[in-house]
Amino acid sequence: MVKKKISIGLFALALVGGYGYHTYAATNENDQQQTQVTNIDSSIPVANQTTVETPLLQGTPDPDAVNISEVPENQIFVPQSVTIGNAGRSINSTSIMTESEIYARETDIGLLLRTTYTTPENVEITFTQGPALLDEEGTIENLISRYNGENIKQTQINGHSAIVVDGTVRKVVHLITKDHLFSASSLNGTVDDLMNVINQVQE
Amino acid sequence: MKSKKKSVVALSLAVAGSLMVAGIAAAAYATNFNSFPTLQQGASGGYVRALQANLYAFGQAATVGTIDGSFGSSTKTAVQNFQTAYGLTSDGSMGPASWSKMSAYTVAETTSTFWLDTPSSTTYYVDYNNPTTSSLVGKLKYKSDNTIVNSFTVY
Repeated sequence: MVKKKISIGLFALALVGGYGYHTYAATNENDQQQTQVTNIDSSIPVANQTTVETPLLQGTPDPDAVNISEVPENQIFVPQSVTIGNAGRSINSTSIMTESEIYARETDIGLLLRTTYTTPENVEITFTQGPALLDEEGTIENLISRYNGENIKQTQINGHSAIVVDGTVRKVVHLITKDHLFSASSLNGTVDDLMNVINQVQE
Repeated sequence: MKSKKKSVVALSLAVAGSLMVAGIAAAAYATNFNSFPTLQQGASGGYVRALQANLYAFGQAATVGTIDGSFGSSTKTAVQNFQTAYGLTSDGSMGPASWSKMSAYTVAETTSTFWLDTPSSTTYYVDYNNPTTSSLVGKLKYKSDNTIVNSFTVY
């Protein structure tokens, strides 16, 4: 009789526990779904695409990110106070581009720096500084192979090798020095805009 | 007889060594998406996660929904939207032409890292990193503050 009571008790406990877990799991799943549903892009219309503006979730801080103020100045070769070039644009050549805060990361391969310059015409140029992981020849080979099929030109800028990619959708200029690989790229600028920035690198 | 055997062993080792060196030489960092396999509805895994993250950067976050590595109907619709927007055959299959179009928006940061940025999203971009020649990891980030939305391993 006692055994029977215990069995019934355990069965009831299992039922309640199971229901409780099911409810908890379902709630969690709903939370995740809601998270994903609200995690919607605000997009520039492309073709038939419609723009959707919704609140953004907070991202997780990049564990590699470091405050730029903690990076020794002699390791930063990102051009400061970049002037707008004359090439191709009717803008006062003494104008200075606005520059975003430098995004600095200390990674397994070394220090990576990234910033964005914006002209008064809203041309955005992303500039990056990374370590040279291969010798000059290897770097050039790597870059040429990755942009295979695009309009690529190899040239010299301030005594260093450079790769110019005049792509159909974005332009890129890479400057290869002994210790670094510098890149300037833009989705709405010209190769001249990029050359103007790269020319102001002083390593 | 013994020396003949030794010669055969030495020769075998030399051939094996050469093949290994050739294999190492052939291995290279992924520098864009051109070597990615064709993906269709029903596929799953790291390449699908990369595809879903890329679609976020191409303005398809709302359609993709969760980055879960499963190529379901939502991902297929997002691929079709991407293909239509970029003048490709809208079949929902992620083949060489579609990967090539995505690759056209990548930029090298170093010889082992690159990122994907497009004008179709003001919110997201994707950073890719080859920790080794046999591995590729990605991070979907917010353009506004570079915080990480999703981290994933492609392979």
